[in-house]
Amino acid sequence: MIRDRSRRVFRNAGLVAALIAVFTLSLLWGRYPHVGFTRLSIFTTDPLARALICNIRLPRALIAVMLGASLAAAGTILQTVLGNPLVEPGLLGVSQGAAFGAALAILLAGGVYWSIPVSASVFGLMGLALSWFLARKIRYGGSILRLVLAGVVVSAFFSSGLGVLKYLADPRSELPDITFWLMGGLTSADWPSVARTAPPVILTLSLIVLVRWRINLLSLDDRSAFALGSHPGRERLVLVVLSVIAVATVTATAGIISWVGLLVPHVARKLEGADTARSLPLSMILGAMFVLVCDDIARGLLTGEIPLGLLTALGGALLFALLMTRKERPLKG
Amino acid sequence: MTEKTDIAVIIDDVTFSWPVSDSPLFEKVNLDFPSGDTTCLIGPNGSGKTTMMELILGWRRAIAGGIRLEGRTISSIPSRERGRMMALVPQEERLPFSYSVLEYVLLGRAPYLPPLATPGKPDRKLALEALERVGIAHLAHRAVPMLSGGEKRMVLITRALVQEPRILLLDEPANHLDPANRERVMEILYNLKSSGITLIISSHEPDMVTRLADWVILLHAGRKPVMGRSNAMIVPEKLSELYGVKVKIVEAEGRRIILWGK
Repeated sequence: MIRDRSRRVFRNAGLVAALIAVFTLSLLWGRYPHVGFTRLSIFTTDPLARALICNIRLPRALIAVMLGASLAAAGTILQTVLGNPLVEPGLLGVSQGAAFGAALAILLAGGVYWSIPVSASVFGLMGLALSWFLARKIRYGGSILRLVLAGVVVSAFFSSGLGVLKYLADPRSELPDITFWLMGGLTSADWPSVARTAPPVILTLSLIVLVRWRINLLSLDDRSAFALGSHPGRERLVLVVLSVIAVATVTATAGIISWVGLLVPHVARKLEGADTARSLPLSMILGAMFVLVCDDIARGLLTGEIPLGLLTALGGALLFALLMTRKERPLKG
Repeated sequence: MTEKTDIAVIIDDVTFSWPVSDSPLFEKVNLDFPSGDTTCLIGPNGSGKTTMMELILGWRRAIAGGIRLEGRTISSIPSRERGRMMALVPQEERLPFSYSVLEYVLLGRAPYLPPLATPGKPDRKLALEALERVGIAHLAHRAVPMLSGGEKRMVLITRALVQEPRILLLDEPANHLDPANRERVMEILYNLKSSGITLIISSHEPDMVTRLADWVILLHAGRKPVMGRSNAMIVPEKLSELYGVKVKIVEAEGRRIILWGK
């Protein structure tokens, strides 16, 4: 057992080191002054490269880390507390609500820079609130089935609303904006967006990490969780709201980034087992690394930017297929 | 009704009804569960055994009347303290993820840990000891969903033991088990009984009851439950009235065996 623990500490330290390494390499990777990695010495020799790294790549990498960690943490939480390994943050009407909110902001207040993140957050939370409210009214199935069904209904509602907005949008100016935002990307990442994103994300993720073991209780039947001294309804609500705040905040800056919240928790569980005390932090680190690498490809592979959401979906789907067809590894303590 | 003054659970004038039902399942029911004794709830399917368990657990609320644990109204007991007083062994449990047996059993420590804590060395030690006691220490690192029905039941019992409760509720603990596993569960329950814990067991298998119970409660759907000493309740007339079939009880090798039907 002691050997297991020291091996785990060693592996966790290795993962944090790997995240720092990927982060540092991301700062040195790009298309200036040439395609590929630049040397550290460029800091002293090329003021333009220094400005580029400090003002564009650094905030962008920070947002990528927050984005990946938030989506992966929210995915782990929602899958665990809803007892469904196929759930991701998009399921409770959050993503579609945020997408609708962003499109509405582009249409109504296209020029105002803060309108998209604010509107996306408000409608993302509204998506959750509507799902929650509707779930209480559904007279069919258990509490989790009701919530998932309500999420499907609310998502469909916002999807059709989004369709209407796209139909109404000016095809030369507004429609491309909406479409690009829906594909997701970190082109707008800068220091002000870091300052906007960091406080809610750091606060919610810290709280989530602190209660990481207790999240396990909510994967059981509500009655069993209750018998173990938990308040399943109340605790589930708190965790879902924390996850949604984190996801709505990063979505407001990055647009819709799919597959991270579904795929990464699965990988973390394969590596560390189901216990959220271990799989949740691992999931956050892996999510951050996955989004960082995808974003490096998005901004560095071609002369033009590839939408990040397309890359996470492509990479995520391929990895997911690979993961699901691999043999189960025996558990370790 | 009872000979002891020390009562673990009091059901006080409880009325319970399902929202869709016209007639109540329980109407003004009064029952006392003596501390340290084993009480079995028996009755046919649908007579309300599990519901009675859930009322005692505090998971379902009575329409009228109240439930008291060790003299305190159940709703006034903070949830973590309630988790330290009382544990439940359900018949089965939804398990969407591959927890290892040790991780799963450790969840029983939740009522003892502050909300932000994770289980430490003493908790792991307790969990491993409990696994040893139930005889499934060799399964500690196996995935729970991969276990057999009998092994899963042992894991659920172990998790409840790790809760170190004074009152243990078991819902059909021997249901769907083969004879070997049934005997193992019986042995564990015997040991628990002699350790002084209050056991409340629901079962529709009176054979199990004859070997364990100090007290028996007969649950008839729509009628007042009847409680009495095991010997006075497990008799052919009462059982055949309860289940609506002919019942004969024979003694063999010091044990009472129930024969059902003609």
